[in-house]
Amino acid sequence: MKKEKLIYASAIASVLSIVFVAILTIWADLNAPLKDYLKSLSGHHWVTKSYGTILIYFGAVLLFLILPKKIGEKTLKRSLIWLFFFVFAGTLSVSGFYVLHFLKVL
Amino acid sequence: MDVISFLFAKPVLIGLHLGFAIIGIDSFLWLAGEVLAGNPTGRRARFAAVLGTSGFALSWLSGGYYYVKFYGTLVKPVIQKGLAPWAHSIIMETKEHIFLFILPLALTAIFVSFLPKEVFEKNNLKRGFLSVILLLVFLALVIGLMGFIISAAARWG
Repeated sequence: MKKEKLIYASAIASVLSIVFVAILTIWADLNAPLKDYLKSLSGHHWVTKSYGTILIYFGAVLLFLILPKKIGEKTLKRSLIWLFFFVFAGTLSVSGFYVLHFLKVL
Repeated sequence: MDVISFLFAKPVLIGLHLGFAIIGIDSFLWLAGEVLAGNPTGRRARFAAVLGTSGFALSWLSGGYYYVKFYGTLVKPVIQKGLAPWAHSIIMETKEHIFLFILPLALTAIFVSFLPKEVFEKNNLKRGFLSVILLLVFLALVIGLMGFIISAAARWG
């Protein structure tokens, strides 16, 4: 059961990391002071996002391992499907944003 | 030139970034093959998942160092003044951020590969696991293609 819960925790933590990267990336490119703040934390905005991704992922894995959750027969399958969906959506969001940003629509 | 200076030289860093990514992609294709062959959590599958994740982690470190140390000052200005400024504004910006999706996905794949086979089958994970692995490979290949476009834009303006 521990291994099953670890997979569930990792899939949800991955989803949260993807949401974190997508939202922070778009927000920081629309808001120069935020990008400067991210840069001030590590010397480069991307390095700060990298550290943030690692922190969110491992922090969320620990959190979801501690939180009580019954792993049913469909829980793991659903969490992998959610992960698939969020990777796809995150990739489309980030790439779509940069296309629109380049075209000065956003 | 000592070993450290050699490893941190620009072309070597690019080579390491690409080489480690290829190890990651090939390992996860191998893992997909193990899943299709009905061996999703055996010793070979676990080795492939760990090797692939290590490859992607090292690709992140070598590529990230190159990006932070050299790209912004040496490559980005050349692309922005060239015929394809979108190679930075769209392709590089997308590449550097979607790369961050890779490691959490790969770690999740490791954990799945360490399940006992009967638990894997009881939870009916074959299709979901295979989808995640193939999406990971596809994402890494797209990132590789993006790297080629960025290099081409810098080289040929």
